[in-house]
Amino acid sequence: MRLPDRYRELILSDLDPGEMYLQLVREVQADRIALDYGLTETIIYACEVRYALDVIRTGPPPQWSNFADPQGNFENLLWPLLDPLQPVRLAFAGSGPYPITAALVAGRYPSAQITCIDNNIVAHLLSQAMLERAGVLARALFLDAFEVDYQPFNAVIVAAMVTGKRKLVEKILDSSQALVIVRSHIALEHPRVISLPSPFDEDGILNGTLP
Amino acid sequence: MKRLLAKYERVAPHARDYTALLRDTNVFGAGRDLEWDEDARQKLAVMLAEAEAQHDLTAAWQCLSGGPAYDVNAMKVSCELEYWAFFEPHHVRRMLYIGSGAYPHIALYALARLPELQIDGVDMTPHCTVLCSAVAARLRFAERLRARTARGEDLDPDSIHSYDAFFLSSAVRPKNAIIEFLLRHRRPHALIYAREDQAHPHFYEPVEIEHPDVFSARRARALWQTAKGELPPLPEGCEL
Repeated sequence: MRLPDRYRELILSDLDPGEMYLQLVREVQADRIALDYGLTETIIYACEVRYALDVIRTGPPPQWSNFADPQGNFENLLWPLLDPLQPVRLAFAGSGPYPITAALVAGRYPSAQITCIDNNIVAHLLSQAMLERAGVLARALFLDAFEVDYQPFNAVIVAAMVTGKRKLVEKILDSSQALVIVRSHIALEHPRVISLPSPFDEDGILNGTLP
Repeated sequence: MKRLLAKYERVAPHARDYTALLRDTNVFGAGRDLEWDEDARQKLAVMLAEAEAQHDLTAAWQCLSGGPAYDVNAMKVSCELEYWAFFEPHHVRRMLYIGSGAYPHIALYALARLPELQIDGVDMTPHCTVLCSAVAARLRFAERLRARTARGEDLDPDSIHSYDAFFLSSAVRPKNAIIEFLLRHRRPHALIYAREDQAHPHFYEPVEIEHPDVFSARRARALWQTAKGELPPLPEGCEL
């Protein structure tokens, strides 16, 4: 699906990226458009790339917040899962150019060992530069999430936009003892799999739900 | 290749020297006697892509920050050859740039010189197309350079018919399959320019298709040599 001109204008506007995201989602709802993965990527990465560039240029924000979850619902669900796992050894699969969850986790657990994984070179480079500039203690790994050895981790977050989630989750379950936190619905029941609500479906497509 | 890989694996990715990596893998120079190892080749290819992306990104964010234009030599891009051999003599007006990246240097060079030129850029990396759109807007080319996310091999045949020229960057793969696809669906006489890196055939797919409407970098260099009596300058590390 091609990016409609109105959406493109919003992406190129001077709006704060979070506000831009909300407006785009509102437009998608109003237009009753069923997004595909490509358009989802354009919308999400437009926000994330702009946030990452802001951090690289001007340093970290006074307070981290997730543009797709301004009320912090995800964090409120995440902390009770991670609190018992001290020290946290977290892998973040599909962390993207702006790994906000890594920054939030590093802020709450200063001794956490965090690894951000992305198989996209640009996302990897942007996230690496952003983490370094922001002083977030997390390493960025340029690798396909399927190729990672998850044994050293006690928690894995699978990002909302990861495709082929089910296979990846099965691989993590088979090769480690980690708790697997999936940021979307996933049709897989397992005592170590927690599915947290998000505006994305299992295939990583934004379903137009406002945060 | 294995030894070379070990050498570069000791260096952190962001500290790797792109020029040195190109020099060491140049089949006309230090890379002449490299012993083939597919696993090492793939890893070296990733390193080259990573170094290239690093420059592309830096050029984009330097532009978006209002900084000076990024050094074309560092990016290993020459614009003069492509402009002289392709854009200028053929009065290109509506072009599709495949593998446009975040900062399509050659496209920007041509847009600045040809007021009627319109370019659509496609790249498989959405982060790059977002950055490319922002770069175009920053340089006041928003209406003449439009970027979107797509793979060259997934292009819609109808849209291919709407262009009078196509440009493929060096890193595009599968380059020859995409050229064949374009030749099948293009409008009559639409031209194709495909960049290639003769010095690094193991890492950048050479153009193998011979066709009067296909300009490979080799063909453009030969034309330049005939017209000017000397070879066009090549970036450091890519010498023949």
